[in-house]
Amino acid sequence: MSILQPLLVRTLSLVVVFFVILFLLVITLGATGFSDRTLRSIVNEDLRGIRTGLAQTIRDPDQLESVMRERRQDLESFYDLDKAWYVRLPGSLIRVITLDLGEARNMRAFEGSKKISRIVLERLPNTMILLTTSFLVTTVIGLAVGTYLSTHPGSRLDRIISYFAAISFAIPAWWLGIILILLFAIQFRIFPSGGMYSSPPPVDSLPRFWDLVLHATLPIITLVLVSLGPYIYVVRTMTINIAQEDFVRTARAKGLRERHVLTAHILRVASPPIVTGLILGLTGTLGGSILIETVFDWQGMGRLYFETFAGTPDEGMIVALTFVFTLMYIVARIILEIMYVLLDPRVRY
Amino acid sequence: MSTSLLEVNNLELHYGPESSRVRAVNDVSLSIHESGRALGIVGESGCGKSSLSLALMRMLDNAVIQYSGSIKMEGEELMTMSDDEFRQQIRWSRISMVPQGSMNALNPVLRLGDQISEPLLYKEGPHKTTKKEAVARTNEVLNMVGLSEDIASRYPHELSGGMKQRGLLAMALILKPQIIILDEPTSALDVSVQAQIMNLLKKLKTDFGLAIIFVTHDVALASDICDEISVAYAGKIVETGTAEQILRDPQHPYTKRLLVSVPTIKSPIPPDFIPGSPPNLSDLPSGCHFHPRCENALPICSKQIPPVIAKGTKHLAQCWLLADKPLG
Repeated sequence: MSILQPLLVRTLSLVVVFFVILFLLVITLGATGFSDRTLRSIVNEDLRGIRTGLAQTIRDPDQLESVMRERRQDLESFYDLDKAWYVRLPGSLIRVITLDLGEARNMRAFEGSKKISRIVLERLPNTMILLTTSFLVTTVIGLAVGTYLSTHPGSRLDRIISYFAAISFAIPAWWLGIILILLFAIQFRIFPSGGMYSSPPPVDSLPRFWDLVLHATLPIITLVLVSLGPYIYVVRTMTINIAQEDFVRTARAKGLRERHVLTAHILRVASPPIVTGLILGLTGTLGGSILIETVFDWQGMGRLYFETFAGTPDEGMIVALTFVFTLMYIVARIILEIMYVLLDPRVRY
Repeated sequence: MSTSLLEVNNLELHYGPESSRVRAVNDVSLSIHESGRALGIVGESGCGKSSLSLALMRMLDNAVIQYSGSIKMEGEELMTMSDDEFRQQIRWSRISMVPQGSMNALNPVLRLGDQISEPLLYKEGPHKTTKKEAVARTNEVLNMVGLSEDIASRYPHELSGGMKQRGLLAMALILKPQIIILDEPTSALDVSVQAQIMNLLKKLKTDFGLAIIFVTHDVALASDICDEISVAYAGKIVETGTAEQILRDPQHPYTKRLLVSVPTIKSPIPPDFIPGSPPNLSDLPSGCHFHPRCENALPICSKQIPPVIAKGTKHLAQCWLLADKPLG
């Protein structure tokens, strides 16, 4: 049995998921009339500008109206408004999939470009800083505390952590973010309340980096706190369950060091569910990042998403951002599938 | 008198909590005189057989509240060793075991060869070898148990039950131990595979001089390979003797009933069961633990623990009925 076949099957199924999500996006934007409305408002806005321009040269109101009608038709066919949404939107989807994201209407990249791809790519690293750092912190703390608890079930710490896990699971990230801002930014003034850099930002690279760390601390703490609890519990419970299996007794009977038994046998077998919990937690924080970045005014993709919907919605940006978020999710899932197949030789289909 | 290979005296293993102390191994003494001999430990489920094998390997879980007695190997006392010394010097290298429940006894995500060679590569001490030597030695033990060398690269789910059992046996042989404990080695296998494994064990015993402790509920199976048999009941050894003595001339009433309960293919006599059920190890009957189920129980049986009585060379049984002058 080749290892490639299961990977191929799983990757393909995720690609299907990808298209289904984009398809649903098209349905949502089109069937609700959202797409028509935004495009029509663009056309009307353009026409208003054109009318004031034309009014200078064409005096005859009838002639003006007929020219305006022509212009309106031109614009509507330019925006494909003369076609139904189910004809128009798949076309824009295909452009998005071929990475031709078009131009934003009223948003600009920090360096001034109107291209959506530039705007999104500029924000992507900022989001990645938050997500990867909190992911690493959660992994390290979760594994350490989870395995420790698995050897001390029922201890005082174990009971405290079980409450913490429930709270951590239930608490909304944005609420926790606000509480942390109130406490550490406003009350104690330890950390800045938002943004990525002080204004003006430090010029040298080291102080600049330190400034970024200070600004990132609260959002990262928030992201870690809301995902850590359930994760510790997954690690703890999986480790306890696996530790009772017969093969662990076999490993102990071999006279191997307890540390080796834990890492090479217990955690090795527990790793597929542990990795699953971790990566699904990460994909969960993808959605959470919209709220967190908004609360902490972090110039990432989540914040961009929020800005796209606030004010005048920009259809191109919505499609582009949904595309990028879905892509990140799918990539994380494909990594998960690959790790699963590598970690557990029994998974082959 | 030469020193025995293994001499166990008054071994106790109790599980907590204190309020309901489980006496899984209760004042057990047994011995294997020399290599190439096999000792059978026979008893019903729940009589403490598995705990006894764990006690010999010092594989104690957190619930153990008492672990005492004497285990001597070639005259050297093992009970005074620290846990680390025992783990490095004795466990798997001088006494190894084939665990019960062989279906889950192998790690499902590691290749069989890697599991077999693991002690050679990761265990501290004189066994430590290079990767290359470990592979060679792994192939050697695989051949010893009748498996081909390419099995080493398979995962447990790609092996049949018999292959897994052989693999576990190969694993137990990797450090060339003197004693190997087999805990119900064939209970998960069908009879034809069981016969193959038994023949393999006999071969290992004679060809490599392996001493075997064979823990089973199956008297017939034990009689096939064992030179001596100890009958366990409620954490105690109630009768011990050569296989011949135990089978032909059982002394303890429990042994007698146990033998009658074995069905035979041709005999017209239907197998008889032992009335009652094995006692709860945390709430043992007073006196002789078997007295509530014993047909011939005397008044004293429920009051005092019976003495160990010799009924011939090496044949010992712990029963009031065998005493010359039963008291009371």
